[in-house]
Amino acid sequence: MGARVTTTNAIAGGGSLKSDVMIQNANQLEKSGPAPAAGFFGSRTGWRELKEHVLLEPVLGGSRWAAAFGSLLLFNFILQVITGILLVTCYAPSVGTAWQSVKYIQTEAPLGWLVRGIHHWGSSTMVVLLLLHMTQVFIWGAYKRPRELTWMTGVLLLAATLGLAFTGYLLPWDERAYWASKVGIGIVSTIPLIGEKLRLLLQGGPDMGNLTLTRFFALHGFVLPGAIIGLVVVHLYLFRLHGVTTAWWRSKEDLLKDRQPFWPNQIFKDAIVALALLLILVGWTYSHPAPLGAMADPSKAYQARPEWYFMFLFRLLRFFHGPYEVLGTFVLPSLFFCILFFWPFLDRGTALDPRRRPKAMTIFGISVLSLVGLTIYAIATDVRMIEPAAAVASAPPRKAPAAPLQKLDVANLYTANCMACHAVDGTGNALRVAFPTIPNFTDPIWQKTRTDKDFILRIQDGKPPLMPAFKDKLSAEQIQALADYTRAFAVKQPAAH
Amino acid sequence: MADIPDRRRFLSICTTALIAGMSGLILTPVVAFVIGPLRRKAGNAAAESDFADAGVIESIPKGTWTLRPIEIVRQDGWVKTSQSRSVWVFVKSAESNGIKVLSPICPHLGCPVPWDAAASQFRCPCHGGVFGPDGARISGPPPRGLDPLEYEVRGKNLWVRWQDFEIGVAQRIVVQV
Repeated sequence: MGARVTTTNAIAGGGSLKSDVMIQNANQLEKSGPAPAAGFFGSRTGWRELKEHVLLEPVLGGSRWAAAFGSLLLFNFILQVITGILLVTCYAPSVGTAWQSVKYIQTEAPLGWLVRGIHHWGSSTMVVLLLLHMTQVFIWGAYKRPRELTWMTGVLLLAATLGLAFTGYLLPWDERAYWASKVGIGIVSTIPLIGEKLRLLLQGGPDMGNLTLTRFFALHGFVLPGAIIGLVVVHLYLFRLHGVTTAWWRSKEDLLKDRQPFWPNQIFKDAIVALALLLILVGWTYSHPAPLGAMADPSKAYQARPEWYFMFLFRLLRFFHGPYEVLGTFVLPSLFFCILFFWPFLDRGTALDPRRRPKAMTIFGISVLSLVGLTIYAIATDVRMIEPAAAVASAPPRKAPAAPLQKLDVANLYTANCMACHAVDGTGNALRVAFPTIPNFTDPIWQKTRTDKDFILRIQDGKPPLMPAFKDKLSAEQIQALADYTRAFAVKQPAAH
Repeated sequence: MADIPDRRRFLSICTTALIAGMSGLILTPVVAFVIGPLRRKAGNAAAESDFADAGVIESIPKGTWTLRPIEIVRQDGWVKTSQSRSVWVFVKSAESNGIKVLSPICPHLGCPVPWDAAASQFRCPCHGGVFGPDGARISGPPPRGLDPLEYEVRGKNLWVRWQDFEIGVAQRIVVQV
């Protein structure tokens, strides 16, 4: 206290700035001098005070399982960052290398299937958890004064996450990535006035290619994660500033009675839920390897479909014809986003109990029902039309590579020669309706009934009327490699490593 | 003594201005770099190289729409590459007259459009656009019909000029390469 008086005196007395600073320092020293038991790091970093403030702060009403969504999202995001960095170590963003490097990650890099699988499916859980988190925040009325800005940063986090989902979708450069992104960029280009310019900026040129990949990669790997980290810091700061929104059905005395510190009570629950998510993701990835289709080929017909969480928008676009297209691609989505963003200022009532907020809950119910309904409807009614039998004249055969065959070359050979009928996963499912005799390479029983010699002969000589002979088109080495490649379909990918 | 707050305010204005100026200095080239693709001059796209060989006309089935692959050469960032595209070709009869060539890119949002021989229509599998056997729009969201492409008959072969058109608009606007 005495030091402060001295400071004031120093200024009033016309003391130089230098002495002012010195006194300020002395003041600090006196105020927060090292506690005797702080230890080496404690006295140098102040981590005890930090821990006290960040971890030990009591949570009103005690720890709750329902409060774990936010931490779970953060955990999911950290998983995405870790797996993302690992993927970057093997990924090469260019038209000639993107698909090949992802194929390498998926089939050859040790545990690549796991890393890519968690990253792939983790993006879906991220979207699901975000929507659940927002649902909970909405029902609890947690966006109301003074937490408006917490909600708004949350909506920006939703936008950044969807941006990550969109930009990440292109990076494997397989067929679905290419066409889904082409449609996505097409949607951007319908924005009035600036749409066409935005398309050029996103694509990095008049057409999708190398510069589109590098730009999407920069957005996906640097810009959007950076934005998310910044927003999460603000979001968490605001959350801690205003505290957990208390349940509307509990009285103040009740809440005060039940206080528990954040660490370890709440974090224990958060960690259990996080462990569950991790186990689910690993299990799911083991049974459902992340898909990788054939390499993008702009000359091949393909039925473009977005990831499931954009299917409602995809379906919506069917309803807006001609000049009204922009309603579905731009006006409605941005209107929805604006309402979501400014919602705390549109609903200014102070009641938290949902039963006392009939208007807000009705709007919320209708939105959820129509979003979920439209998504289910879009996926359920999406019968991909069977390709009409338009004869596609084949491109001139590629020259055989001089170097010893690498796995990837075989994948390319398969893509060029076999995939049209046998499908990228070897099941032949796409054509089975038309040609019931097409084999399923992934069927272990089918595999057991054929010898290696059978494979080679069948590829060499074909089997009229459908299977063409390849002895004039491919070298013996290439045929051998394709036979091995076909054998490998019976082995489940994760188990192969 | 009284002038110290004034001097401090002056100093804070100067510091703010300094930082703002510095930010502008950094941001100008950043923005210029990012919007580079907008400022790039459109090349002389009309060049001969845009025509690509779509094959011998005799080998193209007559009286129906056939998807023909073509190879075009494009500057793709740092490399010049040969890229594959495909075009819908219709040859009426063996006398090689009545040729029509259409881009398979749906003018709605850019999906590739297949020919449905049974219905004698082009049907977009994405958002349900339907086009007649001449490529004209029949129904669905697309704002215009499928885009016709220029072609030339050179000797026995059909040469097609690949072009991209802006999607989502009723007018046919060529995207400058």
